[in-house]
Amino acid sequence: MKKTILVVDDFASIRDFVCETLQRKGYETLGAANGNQAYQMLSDKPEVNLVLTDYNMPECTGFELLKKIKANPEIAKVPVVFLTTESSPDKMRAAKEAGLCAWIKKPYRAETFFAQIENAIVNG
Amino acid sequence: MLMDNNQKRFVEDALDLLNELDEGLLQLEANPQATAPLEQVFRTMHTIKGGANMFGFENIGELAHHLETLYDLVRQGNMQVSDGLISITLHAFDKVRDLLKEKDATKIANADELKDHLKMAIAFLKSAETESMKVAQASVQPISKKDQLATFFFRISPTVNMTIDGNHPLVFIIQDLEAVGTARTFCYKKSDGNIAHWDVYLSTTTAQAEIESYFLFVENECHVSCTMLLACDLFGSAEFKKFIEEFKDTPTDSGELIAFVQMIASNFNNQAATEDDLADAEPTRKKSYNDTFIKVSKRKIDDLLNWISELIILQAQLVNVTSSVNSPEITEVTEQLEHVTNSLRDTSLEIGLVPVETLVTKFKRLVRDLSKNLNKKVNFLSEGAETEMDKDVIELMTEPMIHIIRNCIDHGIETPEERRQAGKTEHGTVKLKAFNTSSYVNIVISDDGKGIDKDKVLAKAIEKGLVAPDAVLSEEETLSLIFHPGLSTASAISDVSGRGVGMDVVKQKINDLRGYVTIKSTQGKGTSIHIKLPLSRSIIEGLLVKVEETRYVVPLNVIDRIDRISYDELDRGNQVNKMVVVNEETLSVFSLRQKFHGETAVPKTTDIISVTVNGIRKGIAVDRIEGKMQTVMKPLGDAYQQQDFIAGSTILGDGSLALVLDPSRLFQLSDN
Amino acid sequence: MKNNSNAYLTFALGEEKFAIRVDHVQEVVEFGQVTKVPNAPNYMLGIINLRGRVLPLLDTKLKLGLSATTVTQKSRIMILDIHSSDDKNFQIGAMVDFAREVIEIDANEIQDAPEFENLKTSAPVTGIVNNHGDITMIMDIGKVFSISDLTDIKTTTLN
Repeated sequence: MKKTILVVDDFASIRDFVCETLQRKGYETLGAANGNQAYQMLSDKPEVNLVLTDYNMPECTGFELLKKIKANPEIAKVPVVFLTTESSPDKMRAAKEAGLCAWIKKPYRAETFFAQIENAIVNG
Repeated sequence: MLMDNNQKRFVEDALDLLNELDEGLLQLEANPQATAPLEQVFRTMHTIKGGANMFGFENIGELAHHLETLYDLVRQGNMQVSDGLISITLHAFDKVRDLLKEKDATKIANADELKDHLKMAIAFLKSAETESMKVAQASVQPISKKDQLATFFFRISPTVNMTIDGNHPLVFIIQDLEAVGTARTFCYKKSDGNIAHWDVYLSTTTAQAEIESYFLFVENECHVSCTMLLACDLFGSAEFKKFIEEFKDTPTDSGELIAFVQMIASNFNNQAATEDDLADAEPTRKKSYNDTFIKVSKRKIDDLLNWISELIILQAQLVNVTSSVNSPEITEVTEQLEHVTNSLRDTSLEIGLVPVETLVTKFKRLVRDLSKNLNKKVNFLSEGAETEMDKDVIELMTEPMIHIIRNCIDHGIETPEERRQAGKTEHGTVKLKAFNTSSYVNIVISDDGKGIDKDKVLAKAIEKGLVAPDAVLSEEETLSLIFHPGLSTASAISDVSGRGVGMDVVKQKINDLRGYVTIKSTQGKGTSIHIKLPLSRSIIEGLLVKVEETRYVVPLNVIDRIDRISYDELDRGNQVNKMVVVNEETLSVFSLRQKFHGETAVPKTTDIISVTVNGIRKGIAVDRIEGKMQTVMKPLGDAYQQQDFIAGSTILGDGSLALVLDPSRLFQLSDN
Repeated sequence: MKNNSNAYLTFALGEEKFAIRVDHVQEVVEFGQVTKVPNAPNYMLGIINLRGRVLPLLDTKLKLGLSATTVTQKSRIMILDIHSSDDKNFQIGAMVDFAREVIEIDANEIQDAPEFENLKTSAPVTGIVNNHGDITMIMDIGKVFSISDLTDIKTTTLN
């Protein structure tokens, strides 16, 4: 059965690009333009296997989205991965403590990207 | 190769970002010490770099990277903002902006044009770094750790089974680690083929805390130990390289390693680096003006606004229908509904509005570039840039306003010598002021240049037969001749200092938006052009009037006063336009009744509405003014294209229709 | 326009009976209030309010060159969809003296329209149905109210 990944990024160009990349690898994808929209979609459709989100977004950052997801028992099990240009160790640690599964830096290398995603879905 | 959709979207986003970048740079130029524009500039370049690299425009990414590094130096206090820095940045991104207009992605990616800018950026960077290094050494302050080269030793021991060709993220993370600098990796396997551990020797400028964080999310699956060997690139030492090769098959004993390194260190005479202080957290990226915006398609907004207009009309009809019903419950609900609908209407008026700021940035650039080209010194001031205007209207008004500003600088502001001789400051000023009045947005563009010679304009107009030789024109009327097509051509203009060129087109565009424009000017002192545009093109405020059985709406904004006179004074000689004495002044009055209706049942008195349109004062005569109203205007449609003196219609509370007048087009009817 | 049905709306202008395809007709409404827009051709009676939408009202007889419609209780307005060559659509109201029913006309019932000498109108008639001498003329309504006609400055005649 195909796995579904929810991609969250306020830059339409990047969001579409990531979705396409994942689709070519055999994943189903959903797209959201901001954290609130993503959370809404997740609540409606908890069969998402992974949430892949940018960190810096207006209104609801990736970090806030992560916390919201983990605070909701119905969807807390969904693994969350950040895909971002951010690389601050402090932020990474805070995210890890909040339950983040993996942190992928932009620009990414394809192999690392897919390996991290696979790992997150399986072991998330 | 044409761009794919992702690249196209990136280009769209990038063009927006370049605009923001310009704004930040200009602010920084004006205020070299300011931190907010500096941060914005840095952030924006960073975002552009990320996107460019992602979508195959590495040359743009590289350029952005080098410029970003320059601004990072500024952030750290190791470089000052200078004219040179701003200039090369502006020029570099102008080039990027031009490039992005190409449709062919390969052309953009292969563009040579960026190479020169890159060279300049690198050269600037080098000179800045040497400068900052000199400063650092002089004041014995350590250069930021962020850019310091150091060599590290990593030992990564997996706690779960994994093979080198397996898919475990750790394998790839180590590859990523190698990519941040110069590396030599040794992988030691167990007898069963699984990995025992990796030893990685890495020299890089990346901070230790940051590379350690690479392993943060696989902490549960491995042990990582990281030791900084020396604060320099050990790969520069042939001895070191030879030394570590000995560990190809059996791993080193870290004690042995450290001893060796210390020996090399004493040879190099370098200081061991002290504790790394964590790099400043990267500032969160802010888009546009603040954090709380989302992108919505314009079509959705238009749909929403249409439905709101329908609702407003229905609500008015509801009030009408229920006014005859004697039920307190119904009355209460309809009153509440009215309250909510009014709030909806007010909010909807604001939705399509964006601040005029975007225009201001464009103009700043324009003034800067123009004044440099024309060897004039011009300051650009703006006031009220937060005033909001319909987004479409802003786009339509950009060209006309650019034209006006060009005229100001070209023909208004004098050269510095001329200004000095005239006792003025060397720097001329062009000012854009924006503000709201009732349901209009006002934009005033003024300059303190040499003004317009009214006598010359009048003389030219008489010469061209636009005005009778003995005509007496007010100052405003004379100046508005500049908008006349006959006076606007280049050949006509040479005597009137080029001020009028293309102004007829400007006026036409403003008219099309149902706006108004007037000019004021004092010779020797300056000129100001006042543009007035309706905030919403569909909601209007006006006076509801009746002529015979027809109701019209006269837009409120042009109305100066209303008077009542006896009908006899108006009715002389079957003319549409008459000079009538109103309020002790003669006024040319346009009679709607005479023009469009009959002589049946003439009223005893007639109401005269005095309006000022395009600087000219006229009266509109109606049977009776019924009241003031704010209402949604609906277009008449293509069938009534010719009847443009009617701007549209509006549905009144009782379901009947009123015709909304366009006064300036109305008056044109009687000129024929 | 696909010829799905052979359904036609029949109406009368004066003594003459006409029929047009229902595809063009959104609905038929009674004559109510009309607000005259000045300086327009005489066949443009003004604008009407159809449940919150503002539509132009035209006098079909005047547009065809007949004498003006006298408004009676039986007068009706046909709300028509007009298409143009550049894909623009708009709706207009067309006034008629009587609106009759919608009937089915088979293609084989339609005869070619002969050159009627007493055909006073300039109506674009594409065929006729002869029901024992009772003639109904099939009209191409798109030609009667073409967009270019309505917006052409040359046809603007003042009242």
